Amino acid sequence: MSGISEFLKNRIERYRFAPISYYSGTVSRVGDGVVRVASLPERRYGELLEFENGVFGMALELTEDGVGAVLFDADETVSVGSAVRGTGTVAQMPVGDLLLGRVVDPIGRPLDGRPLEANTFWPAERSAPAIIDRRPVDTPLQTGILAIDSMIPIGRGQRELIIGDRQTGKTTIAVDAIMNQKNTGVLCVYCSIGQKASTVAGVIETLSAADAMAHTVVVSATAAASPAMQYLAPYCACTIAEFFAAQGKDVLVVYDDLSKHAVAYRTMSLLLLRPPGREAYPGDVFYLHSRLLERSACLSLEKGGGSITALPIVETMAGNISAYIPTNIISITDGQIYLESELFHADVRPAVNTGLSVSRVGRAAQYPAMRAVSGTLRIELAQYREMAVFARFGSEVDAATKTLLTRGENLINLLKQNKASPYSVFDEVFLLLAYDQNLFRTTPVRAFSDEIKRLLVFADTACPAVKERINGTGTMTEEDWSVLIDVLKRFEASA
Amino acid sequence: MNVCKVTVASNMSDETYRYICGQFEKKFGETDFTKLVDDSILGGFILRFGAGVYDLSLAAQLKVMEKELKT
Repeated sequence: MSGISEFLKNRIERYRFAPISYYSGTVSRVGDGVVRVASLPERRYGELLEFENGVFGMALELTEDGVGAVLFDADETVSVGSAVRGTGTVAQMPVGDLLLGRVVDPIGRPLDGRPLEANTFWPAERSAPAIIDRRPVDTPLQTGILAIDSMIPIGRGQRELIIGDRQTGKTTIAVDAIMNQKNTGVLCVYCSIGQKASTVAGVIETLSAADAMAHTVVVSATAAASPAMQYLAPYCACTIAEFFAAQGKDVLVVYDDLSKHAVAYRTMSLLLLRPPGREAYPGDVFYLHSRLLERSACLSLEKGGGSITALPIVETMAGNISAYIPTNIISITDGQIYLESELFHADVRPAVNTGLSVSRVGRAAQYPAMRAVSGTLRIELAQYREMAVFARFGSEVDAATKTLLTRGENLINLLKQNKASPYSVFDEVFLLLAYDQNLFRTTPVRAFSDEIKRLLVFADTACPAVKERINGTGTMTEEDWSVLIDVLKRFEASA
Repeated sequence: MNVCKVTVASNMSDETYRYICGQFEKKFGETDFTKLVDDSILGGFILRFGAGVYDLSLAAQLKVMEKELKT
């Protein structure tokens, strides 16, 4: 005890008494979360401003006769005449391992009721890694979702957009991908922007139940948060990810969702009296997202070799992917996973439209074992869909077409997957091999998921060594291939 | 003429107040001072001069000290 008091006494004695000098302005106009501050000299763009009563805001418009700023909190305590001072720093975010498992708001305040004692802070807005600091994407990021890992593979450092109407399972895909990073060394940041608080609570609940919070940070600005908070949220999430990536780690960031982010930015811009453009979005709405997504990268080995994979989510209206914000983000990202309501309601879940979905990194980011078994899937599905249109008329079809139709239906059934039940690399390779070998040709639709479960359990005991090797290295030798074919034959014989 | 607002706690003597004003005028020239009394600053003084604030109040110093001890 005396040690502590001695230590404190020492610190207090060493304290240097120094005057605090700063510039102070007064609020001249306030409304809708936007304030105008008269005569506040020497402010920086994006600087944090402290109002009386501890409310914070951000300077977003600097003019000769004052500063335009947005408030982070409810503004009833700020009134005309309130004193404002610049803090000298731009918006900052606590970073570090102590954030793992935590839920924070975009200015780093904990939202999970536990104190957060951070001592490292990084600015929310940082420039993207230079060209020289990047290397090509070559390592897969397994989502555990068969339809995605086989046909739209995502690599570490890639930006893959998840796009679709409301209620098509966009968040589910992202959350499943986060869950699947457990024990892989990939850290995750889930950023919720303008979502209902109940939805965010649901996501946190799901992640906790799957024991996935230990490698995840949640940054949340719910629909009730001010537009400024929602605007800042993805940049802060990216800063947290950048800190981990700078330590050489692989990070997955989910921005859920960027259409609400654009809306929050539009609100803010209109209130700041910036000129509205198309759909009333301000002129720099493209830059808003491009500068965010450019920060995701696969870093060169000199920079530690870490990576930031981004899964931005965009909500479309009535399937219109050619609206303003969706086309912007499609053009920025390295591909998109397009989810469709019709598929979702036809019980094809995940409701991925494989025709419109694409990964521009492509097969470079796929395990060799997966590449070997998934090469023709997209073509087969496309052929099936084309044929299925004719078959709908009930016309007589020849045997070859009939086989094609059955195989197509089997493939669609195989790609159906319940949420929160990710496959391992081996599971995915083995199932696709089984499909390739026509194992499911007689399986009725209703029995499909049971058949898959039985098959995977059978493989568990039949070839544990191959399973371990494929899961560990992602490669498959000729020998493994024949072992797996043999396992499939034994399974078929046992049924 | 310059205009300066001086915030002091009620326990500050007139002599000290005049000394502060004198020192200020020595540096910046003739100034019109307004004295504001606010006991929440505990002691010391705060000068407001245009947009500039020069805070030598006890309350502000204690706040900084608290912050430093926490780190």
